[in-house]
Amino acid sequence: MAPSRFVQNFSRRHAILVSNDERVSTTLLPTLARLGLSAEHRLTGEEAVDLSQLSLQAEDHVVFVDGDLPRAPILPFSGGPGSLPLVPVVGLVGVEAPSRLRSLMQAGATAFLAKPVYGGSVFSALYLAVNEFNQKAEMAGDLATHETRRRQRRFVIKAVLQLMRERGLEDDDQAFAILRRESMQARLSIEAYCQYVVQRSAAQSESGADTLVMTRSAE
Amino acid sequence: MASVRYPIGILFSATGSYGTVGRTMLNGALMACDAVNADGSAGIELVPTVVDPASDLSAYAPAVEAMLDAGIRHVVGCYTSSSRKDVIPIFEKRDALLWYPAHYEGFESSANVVYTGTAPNHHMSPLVDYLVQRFGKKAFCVGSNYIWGWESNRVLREDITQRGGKVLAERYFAVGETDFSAIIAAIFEAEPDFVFNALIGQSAYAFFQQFRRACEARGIDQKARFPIASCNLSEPELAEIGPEAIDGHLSSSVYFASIDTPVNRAFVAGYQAMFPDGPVVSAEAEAAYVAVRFLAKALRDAGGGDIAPVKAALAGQSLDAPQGRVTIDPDTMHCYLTPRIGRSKADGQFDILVEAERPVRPDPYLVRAAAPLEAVAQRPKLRVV
Repeated sequence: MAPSRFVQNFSRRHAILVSNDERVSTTLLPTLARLGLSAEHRLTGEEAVDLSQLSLQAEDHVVFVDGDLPRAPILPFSGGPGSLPLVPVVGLVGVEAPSRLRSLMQAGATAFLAKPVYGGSVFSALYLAVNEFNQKAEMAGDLATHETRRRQRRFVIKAVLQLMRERGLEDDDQAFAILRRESMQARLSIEAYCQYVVQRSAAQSESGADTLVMTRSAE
Repeated sequence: MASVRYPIGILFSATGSYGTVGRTMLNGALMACDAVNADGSAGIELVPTVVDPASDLSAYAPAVEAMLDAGIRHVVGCYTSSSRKDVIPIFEKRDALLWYPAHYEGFESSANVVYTGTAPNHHMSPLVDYLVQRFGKKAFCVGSNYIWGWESNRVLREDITQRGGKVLAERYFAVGETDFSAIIAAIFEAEPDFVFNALIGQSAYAFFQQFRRACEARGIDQKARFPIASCNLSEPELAEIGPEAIDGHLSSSVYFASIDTPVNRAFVAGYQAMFPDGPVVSAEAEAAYVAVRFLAKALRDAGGGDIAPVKAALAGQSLDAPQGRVTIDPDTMHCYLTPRIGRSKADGQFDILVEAERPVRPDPYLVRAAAPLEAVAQRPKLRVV
């Protein structure tokens, strides 16, 4: 896992501004241009603005969502529980009511920008939105990894017992130390390696051959 | 034709810890006022109100309030970034215009400020190029403990890290601090290829003197072994450093008094005639001079002192300044300027070592040059899987 690095230059990004407030576009768009972003402005009419079909990338896009829209825009979300929007979102706050703030949070906003937009606060909002988004995404990835490892715990127990039996070891500490060393050599988590060991021996006892291919967990 | 009178504010710290630079800025601004007022064809007369906040941060905001209360709409002023950040909210709230003539660390573009000094892409990027080519990639950074020092060192660190270099240490001192014995020992210990200085005023002068003395005591040729590079070192400050430690320092700037052009020779001669007692002309004086010339031009073209028409008239304007052609970038209200690197000489002037071929577009947010991510931590993080 690479150490987290903060994004501080947004010049290669494209901003999508979903707002019906003319004052927002007159101040926000020139400020974004100064920061090197390209931008487009989407007006909400009878239908909500639908961004879910666009191929948006977290590294290339950022969406500004106005909290005062008649219909909230449809943003692309990742699947699964605790799902995140696919791109960083900045919430534009006009009416400062709990319901509006909640809808912006639900849209995935990781930063707020108060209306009327003041040019001097746009960089801070972008900085917070993008970096907070990245940290949340990283944390979600870590959680998923830990969830997988939690499910693999039973393979650790099985592998320890199996190794003690196969090699006639006195205690489980010794067996665990061997598995740990081998897992590090294989550059796998101990859980993933134990799963491999258990499944390999099961496959061997079925077919008498080493048919399982070792796969590295995506970390 | 009767000329229209415009009251303007001039706000520089002519006394206090960075008073030397402040005085040259004041002189540059007053010189430009005289030139505008002497030019009958301009049809305008600038009536300056001069206030000296004496290097005291808390004195700036009341001074600006008083100026705006007196009906002034345009103030040429500020040297330190902390003073500028302090007064900008007042200019925004009361819709007046600050003409800011100093090099600064970037990451700002207030709608109520015109920046005639350098953005970091003007002073920092060329300096890092030069230092890495000539001296090496190991830097030791010292700075005054405020936004100029912090951001200058950050930009340097990012730039040099991308080129495979390293910042060995970064140390900050309160504005006005003058005891550098501990840090000088640390520099000898760290053995950098060069020292990057973002100290201002008295602190900088004391550091230059003490470091040169410490090197001499050890038999080290400071100019060759530990060159000091700065983005805020100008001619009047060399005079303050004094003859023992005046020469061999590198400075990245858009203006040196030694620029050999007819426009600059006339500017330097005019300045010396008007202010024979010094301090001598500096990059900051030139930037203040340029700011007032642009202000006068915009007032004349706009036909009034209101902010919106003045800004509209200013966008894209050019003038032949002592440093060369200077143009206002309409997007950021910063200037196209000509970067140069100079090395100080015993006579208090700079030899110009390198100079850009043409004026460079301002990039206050470094969006055109810098990488999207901050520099990597120098020690990789390892973990057991």
